[in-house]
Amino acid sequence: MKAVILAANRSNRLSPFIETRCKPMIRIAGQYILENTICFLKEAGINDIVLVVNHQQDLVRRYFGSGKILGVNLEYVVQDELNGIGQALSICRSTLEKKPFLLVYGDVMTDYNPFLSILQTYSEIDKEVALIALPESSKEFGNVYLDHEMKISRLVENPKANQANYVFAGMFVLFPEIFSLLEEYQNDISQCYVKMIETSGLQACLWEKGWIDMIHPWHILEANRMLMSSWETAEIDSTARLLGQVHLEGAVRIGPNVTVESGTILKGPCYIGSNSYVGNNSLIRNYSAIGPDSIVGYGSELKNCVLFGNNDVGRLSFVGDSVLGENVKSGSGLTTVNHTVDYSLITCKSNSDSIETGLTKLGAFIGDNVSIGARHTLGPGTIVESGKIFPDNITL
Amino acid sequence: MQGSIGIAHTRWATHGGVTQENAHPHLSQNKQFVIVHNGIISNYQVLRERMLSQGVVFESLTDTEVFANLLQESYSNSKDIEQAFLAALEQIEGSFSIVMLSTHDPEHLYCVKKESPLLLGLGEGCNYVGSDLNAFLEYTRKAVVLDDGEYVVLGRNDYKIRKLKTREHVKKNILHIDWDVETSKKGGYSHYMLKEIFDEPQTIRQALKIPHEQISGLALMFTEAKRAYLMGVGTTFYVANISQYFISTLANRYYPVLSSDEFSVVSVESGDMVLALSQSGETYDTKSSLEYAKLHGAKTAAVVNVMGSAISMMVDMVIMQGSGPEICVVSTKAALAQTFIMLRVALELGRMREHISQDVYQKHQRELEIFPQMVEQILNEQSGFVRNIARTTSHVEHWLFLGCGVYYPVAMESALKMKEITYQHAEGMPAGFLKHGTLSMVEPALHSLFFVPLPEQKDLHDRTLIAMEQVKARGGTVIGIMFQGDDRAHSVTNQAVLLPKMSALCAPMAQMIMAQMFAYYAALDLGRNIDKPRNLAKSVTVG
Repeated sequence: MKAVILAANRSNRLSPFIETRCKPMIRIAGQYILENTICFLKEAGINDIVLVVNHQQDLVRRYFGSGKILGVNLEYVVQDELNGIGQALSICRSTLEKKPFLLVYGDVMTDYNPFLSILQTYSEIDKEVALIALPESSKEFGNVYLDHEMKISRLVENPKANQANYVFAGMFVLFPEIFSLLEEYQNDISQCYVKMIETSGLQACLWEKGWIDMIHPWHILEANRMLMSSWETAEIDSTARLLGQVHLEGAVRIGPNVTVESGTILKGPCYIGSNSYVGNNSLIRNYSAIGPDSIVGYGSELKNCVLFGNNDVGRLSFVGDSVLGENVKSGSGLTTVNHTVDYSLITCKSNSDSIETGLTKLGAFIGDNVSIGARHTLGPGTIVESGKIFPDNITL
Repeated sequence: MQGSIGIAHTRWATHGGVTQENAHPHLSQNKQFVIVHNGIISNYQVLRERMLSQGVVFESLTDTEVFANLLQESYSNSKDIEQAFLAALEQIEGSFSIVMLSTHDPEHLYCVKKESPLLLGLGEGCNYVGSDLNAFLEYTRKAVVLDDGEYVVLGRNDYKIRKLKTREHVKKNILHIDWDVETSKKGGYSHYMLKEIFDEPQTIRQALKIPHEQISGLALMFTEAKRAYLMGVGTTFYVANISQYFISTLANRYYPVLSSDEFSVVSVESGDMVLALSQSGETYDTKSSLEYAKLHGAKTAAVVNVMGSAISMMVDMVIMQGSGPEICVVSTKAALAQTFIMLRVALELGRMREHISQDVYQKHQRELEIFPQMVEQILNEQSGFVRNIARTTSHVEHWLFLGCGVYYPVAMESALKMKEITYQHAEGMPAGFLKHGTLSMVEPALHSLFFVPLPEQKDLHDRTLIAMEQVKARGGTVIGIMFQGDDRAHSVTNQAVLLPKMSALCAPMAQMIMAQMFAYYAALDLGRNIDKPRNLAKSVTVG
């Protein structure tokens, strides 16, 4: 069976990180989302994968190439105009139209392998299958109704406020007949699903483990947390150097050529990518992911944060509940304030929009290539566009 | 695994701990006789001691292994396998079903039934034997129900049933099972429990199809009885309690509810009636109490799910609920269907006794008819809300489940569900009990789940609200299952599930379903073995 991963889309709601990469190229817990998906597919016995790309496709091609590095065959299809899922799928017709195939939305992330489940359901009943999940809010997704045989009986795209159904989890086993439906409904995928439900039937496969769709920047933190929570072991590369007294607790993962100086405490689950350096007496707390080639200066504290890579966090800084894009450099004494005094709900402001996060603890989201001078304090929910430069905050 | 004949057993420990040594099948010392066994051999201690003194070595503490060695002993005397089987059986007492396989006749299984369920499944070129239809439902729909005191020599293509006492041949009817095999498979569900919850609209539709004559027949039995009792144990005890409220409200009749294992507290006589509820129809305590009632001349009736089960065969009047196989150890759809059937009976009784008018009766009938659709809606549209509450509270170790009126037994049944699959402590009680003692336990860590009636059930609603406020005022955490538009109750809760408005008749059942889902999602978060909780078995066929 072939799989097609939709990796072309660009969603502005993931600003400030989406301008410089496509969603599947967000690095979480040391791994790109797309890498995670491809590894799960391979584990489920699927080696032929079609990638639909457009926005920032060079990044994908450069990293994954022919797929050899991960032991799979990748075929690239370019979606020239971003006209939705249906259109993305329709351009894969020539390569997929003979046999059933797996359709995977490239921006969803799970902690365990969902393909094993969906393929098992497919093999048991030999019908088209949709993976369904029950997220904390079902507002943003296609809400489904289930009958007593676990078949989907109805699809509602815009649910009422007083309902919270199971939702499409962005993974399907589909038959080639979908292509004629796409033609009939002008590539409107929702209408195709509705037609399928009404005629041939669409079986649900329930996913009860972790599942996150990357919509807003704080979903990066949630996905990071979810993935790290599934870690059961610590892994330390043999080339890593832990100097003097370094205290480790729980599932700590350290990549090649990392140096951690004496007096530092690493509380797992946490991750330090290759070639990184952590200075003396730092505290790297749970759910911190430090991307490759980064420097964390002396006496800094990191907590529940994602550093994409090639980052400098100056000495005596605090980074909590925050995401730092690639190549973000900060001077000494950076503080991300991660809650208000009264722990009120935090609002994120981006592109003149305000979004209620529903969270009481949230730090900052800093786009790629931002330079922040010494002694800056960022308020809860701050979004910094990529490429900005802030000089040192000097008082005299 | 390869082979042409075999026996296996999932054991519910009665004698000896849950250990590898005590697991079935058990072998005789010379390893020529292999046994699986359900039930209890009551005189096994005496037999074991005798054999120990004769030098027999036992590997387990079970009564089963005693029987295996009895067989070895009998065979050495008679050198005939069937004779040895019968001779060994003559020495044991108690209630049991046993299946034996021996190297001396590897083509046949020797089976016996005495007060524990045993059924044969007849397939093409292969026969089966099991204590439950589900054991072989996937392979054949043809079954033979064995009666007490019968034994079988079962081969691949043949079977002979005889009476233990007289050895005479018995001819039995072949039962054709009309359950759909597909419905007993899991499909895309991860647990049978959730599949069975989502099956509830269908089970209620089945319960609606039960002919009116059967429902009115049972109602008539109540009107004719001098005294009547409702009986169940575990979940069915709580269903009986809910039924008691239904009958009291709709028919102005109060019938005592007794737990099957405590039935001996009453003395029954001719003219009395006992109605039993049982999913499996093999519940030992319920069966024993029905036997006791029959012996004393009382009439018996039952609502049962499993066809051909002992209880369904022994009572004067039975309603088969037709809910289909229920695989998960904890009962959801079968319990709901029983509740629904008892509501139908209560309505019928109310009409017969002219406590409700024909108009009201018709209105209620219409409410029952639209209920399956309502269940479909709430299962789908509320699942996310219930999941979120379970997500944030699954760590809570102590719960109070509280309700007034008919919502009180609903709370007790729901607390049992919670205990069974989450292993957390949940106590169901009337909301009015709080101020008489339990309020002293209230603190933020203790969570209270309230089953809030519809606002138009004014008296019940007011009483529930008072209790909610009592908990809230003392810093307790209040979770509510309530109905939309109930702003007063909603404002008191920390978290709430808001069900769509519905008839007061069906409201308690809708709340029961939400509590089943709540227990399911909490157990899911805790990583429990939901379909087979520790220490529990589906049909409790032992006393």
